[in-house]
Amino acid sequence: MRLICVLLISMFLTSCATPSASGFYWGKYPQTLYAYKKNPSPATRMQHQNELLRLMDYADSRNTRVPPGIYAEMGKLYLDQGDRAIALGYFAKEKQLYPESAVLLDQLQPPSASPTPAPTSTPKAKTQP
Amino acid sequence: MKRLALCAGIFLFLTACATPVAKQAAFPKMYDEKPRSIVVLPPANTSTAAEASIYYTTTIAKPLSDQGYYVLPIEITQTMLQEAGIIDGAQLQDLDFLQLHKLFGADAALYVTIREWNKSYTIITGGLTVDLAFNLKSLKTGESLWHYRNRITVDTSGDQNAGLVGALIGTAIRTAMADYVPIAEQVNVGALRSLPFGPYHPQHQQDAQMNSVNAASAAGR
Repeated sequence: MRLICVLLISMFLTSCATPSASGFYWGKYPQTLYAYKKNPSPATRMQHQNELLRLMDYADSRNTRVPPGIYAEMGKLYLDQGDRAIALGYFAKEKQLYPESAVLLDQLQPPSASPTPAPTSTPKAKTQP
Repeated sequence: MKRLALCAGIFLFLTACATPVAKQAAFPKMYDEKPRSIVVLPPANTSTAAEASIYYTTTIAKPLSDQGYYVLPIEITQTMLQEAGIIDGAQLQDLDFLQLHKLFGADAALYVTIREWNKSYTIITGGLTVDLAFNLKSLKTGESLWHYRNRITVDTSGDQNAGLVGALIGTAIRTAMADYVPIAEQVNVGALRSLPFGPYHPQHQQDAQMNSVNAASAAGR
């Protein structure tokens, strides 16, 4: 009797083990994010980052969509560590998959009219009389 | 036998069955506006648990996207608002919806109020309660598109139920705060069942007649 009860409830709760009707597979994302938030450390951060990677691999291997925000969140983790180039790569992936994210993510990029601060080619003006 | 009855009771409670109303009848503006993207704002926390907001926000992206919506990356939107000095949702009340739209580019914003996140004791029972009020606002018109309130108490009194609570909590670490997170997840799922499906859901725009809205919960903002 107890078994039926536990089964019933766990069936209800573990409906997340496979992709949802919308086709998103979130794996252990809520748990690893919770662990990271509760106790921010390099270890919990790494665990969460690995889970994000795993979700990407899962989606790639089954040809489903990476859930909303996963690429962007990975990008932010890299951005916080100063790995700008990798971060922007992930932001680009998020925008490509979900154009809805463009307004937000474009703010995290520098207003890059000039790609990289070019090795100062301006002070030529001095030679003028 | 008693246990089965209790179990059935809890299951019925989880699947919230009372005076169902069709989705479109309850939330017609959802079908007019058809929002695609949602920004989840920091919750307004009126409960006594100061940390509730941080933990709550780890639970909402998954069920909301499963419902078919693009959920803006909460870890990013939250940080941006924090840098602007906004930590609690109560600070957002005065912020113009057009400003939010400009900032995030989202079609709608989800306001969550954490009304209860605590242990409750009565003479007969002791339990953990999570009570959440949801309000999805259009960032184009400022109008409320969907609103719902859901409250779940898990009885923790007595050894007899320890197994049950254990089953609910699963493998989560049994610290006081961790116990609330799975309950909050159930509150989310129960409430979001009434939310019309978004564009990433195969039944988008086909669920108008789905009777999954509890009228009383939809009325309690």
